[in-house]
Amino acid sequence: MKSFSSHDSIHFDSSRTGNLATASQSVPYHSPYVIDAQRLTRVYRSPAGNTYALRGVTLRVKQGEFLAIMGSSGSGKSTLMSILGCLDTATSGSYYLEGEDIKTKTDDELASIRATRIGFVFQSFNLLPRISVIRNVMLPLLYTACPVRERIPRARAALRAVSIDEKLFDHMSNELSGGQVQRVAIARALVNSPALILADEPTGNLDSETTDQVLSSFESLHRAGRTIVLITHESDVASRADRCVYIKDGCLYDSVAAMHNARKVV
Amino acid sequence: MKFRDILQEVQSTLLANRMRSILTILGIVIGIAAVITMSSLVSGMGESLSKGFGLQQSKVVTIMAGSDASEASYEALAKAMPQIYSSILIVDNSVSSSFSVEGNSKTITANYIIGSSDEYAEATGLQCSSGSYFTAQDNASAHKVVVLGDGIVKDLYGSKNAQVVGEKISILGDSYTIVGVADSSKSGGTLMTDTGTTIYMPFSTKRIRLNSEGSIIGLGMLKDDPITLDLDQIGKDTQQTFGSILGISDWKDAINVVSAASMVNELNSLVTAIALLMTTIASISLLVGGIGIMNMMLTNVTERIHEIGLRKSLGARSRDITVQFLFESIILTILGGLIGVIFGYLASGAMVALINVLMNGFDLPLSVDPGLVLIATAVSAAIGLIFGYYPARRAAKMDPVEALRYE
Ligand SMILES: Nc1ncnc2c1ncn2[C@@H]1O[C@H](COP(=O)(O)OP(=O)(O)OP(=O)(O)O)[C@@H](O)[C@H]1O
Ligand SMILES: [Mg+2]
Repeated sequence: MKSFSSHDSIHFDSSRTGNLATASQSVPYHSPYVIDAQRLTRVYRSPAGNTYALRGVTLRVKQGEFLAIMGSSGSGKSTLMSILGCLDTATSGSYYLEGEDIKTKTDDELASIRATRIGFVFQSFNLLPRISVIRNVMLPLLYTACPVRERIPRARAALRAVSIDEKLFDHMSNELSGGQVQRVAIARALVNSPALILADEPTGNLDSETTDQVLSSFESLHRAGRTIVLITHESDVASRADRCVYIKDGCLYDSVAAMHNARKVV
Repeated sequence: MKFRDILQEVQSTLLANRMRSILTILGIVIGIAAVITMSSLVSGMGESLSKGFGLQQSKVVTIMAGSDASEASYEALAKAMPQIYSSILIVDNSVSSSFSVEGNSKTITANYIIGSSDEYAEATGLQCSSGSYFTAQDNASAHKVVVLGDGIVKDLYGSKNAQVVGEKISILGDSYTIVGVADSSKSGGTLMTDTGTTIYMPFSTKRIRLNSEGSIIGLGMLKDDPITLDLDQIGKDTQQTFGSILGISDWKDAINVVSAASMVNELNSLVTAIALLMTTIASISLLVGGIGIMNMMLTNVTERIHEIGLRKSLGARSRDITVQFLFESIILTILGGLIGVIFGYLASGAMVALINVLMNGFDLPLSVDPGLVLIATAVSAAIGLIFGYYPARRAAKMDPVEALRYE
């Protein structure tokens, strides 16, 4: 198993503190939760009829937690991730990210939150094809105040943290294998030292061996103190997290049993 | 997003789509190249034609009244029209039969002697390659001095550049001192003569020493810039006024008033008309080029929906996306404009060379206006901005979730 050196983790944690210092100016109270979401609903309205993708999701994620959200296709996983990642806003309910109320934010403020506090890893199309690996990793830094001279060192550290070979740093991203692409995507999610890493089926397109490599990367980030929310429909993948919650038809459950009971009630 | 980051992103995108980028800007390249070629040809034509007409003479109005006009009558005319003419120079350009000129122990035949005041050179833009035009004193005292056209110098002394100032030549058996050589390459041919083959001497010298009794013409020096004047009206007024001074009733036929400026003005309006036509053609081709850019950018936005979603999820604001796409189109069009300028200059160089070869003896100058480069760049940038704005806004307005879901 490839592991993550303590040197790297120290590097990240120190820069992380820097980011928090600026962000904390507008934090109304100090919340112990990175994610504090209450009764989130999301309704997609269309002429063909409304889709209730989320029906009152309450979720709290502590600093440093590695949480898996499991659910079958169409259960609302991606919808939830978009809201948690400030890409979308809930129809109702409240969402505090590190104690900050997301509802009151303008689009530009949401963009700035995504740039500094959230790292995304998607299932596919993560990297821009015709630029190098390292430039892909540096992309989020273009949208922050990160000084130019710090970009390359930060990107390199992030790539090392996910065990990408130095030789690949200047390769075009379309020259990488599927597993490498996903690890580079994790490095990119990491490069801004975000409060939260959100991964939507990051191993969905991978075989079991590369899935293991990618999950190992998440595990080492977790050990380094990162807060991670990983979405999956595979229980093998979910089992690598500290905690797993289940989503079905837009409702969140703490256990499979609870989910089945709820089904009986309906 | 920092400016240099935008440029770097744009550069990678354009390089990644080299072929498409080139095809897209072709419209702009052709449009700008056409404008540059046409305008440098037209201004080259204008330059060459107005040089032929003697643009320097555009302030000169030639007044001819046959043998009726005397020195005194021209003086009276100048006094009668002080708002129009600052002065009227008198010139005896009468042609007798050809006569022999001797110098350097050679004899050639010449047939053109202009007798004028010392101001003639300045008034007509005549320049001396060596020596100088004769002085007012020479005229007052009817000194036997001449300025030779460089063609005559060449015939007598073997070279245009022969040092002849101070040499003596003999005209009709009488000896004259050469005081200057008129440069035919710099001086537009004076009204009816070719500078190179003309002999210039003081008016009084020609009248007295050569016993010339030929008619005198007047060169009216216009006070104001001819561009601002109604030269037709001035011509009529001059005919009428001079008619009454001379006491002739058929002044319309007897008196001729010709101005180089009116020809130049006509030429100018022709050039303006061509320029207008050109501008129209150019605008159409640039419009088509602009629509091409817009089409390409819209395709581009559709193809890169994922990239847009990804960038937004990584923290790009709408403004960052707008600016990135806008700069793609602006840089593309500026590039097209610059390539167009280069092609335009190459093409005009080739055309000028071709015209000069085909029209033997024609010496069309290559007129390159560096200001055009700036204008072309500005126009292309404006096209990029105008036609790139809508696609860029469309990209920026895209919902990130929709963009990421897009298959
Ligand atoms: N933009 C949209 N407009 C309308 N309905 C939508 C939209 N996005 C999602 N939905 C619907 O909302 C529900 C939840 O979708 P979501 O994408 O969150 O599911 P998912 O759990 O991520 O599924 P998968 O595992 O297939 O990715 C689905 O029924 C889907 O059809
Ligand atoms: Mg999904």
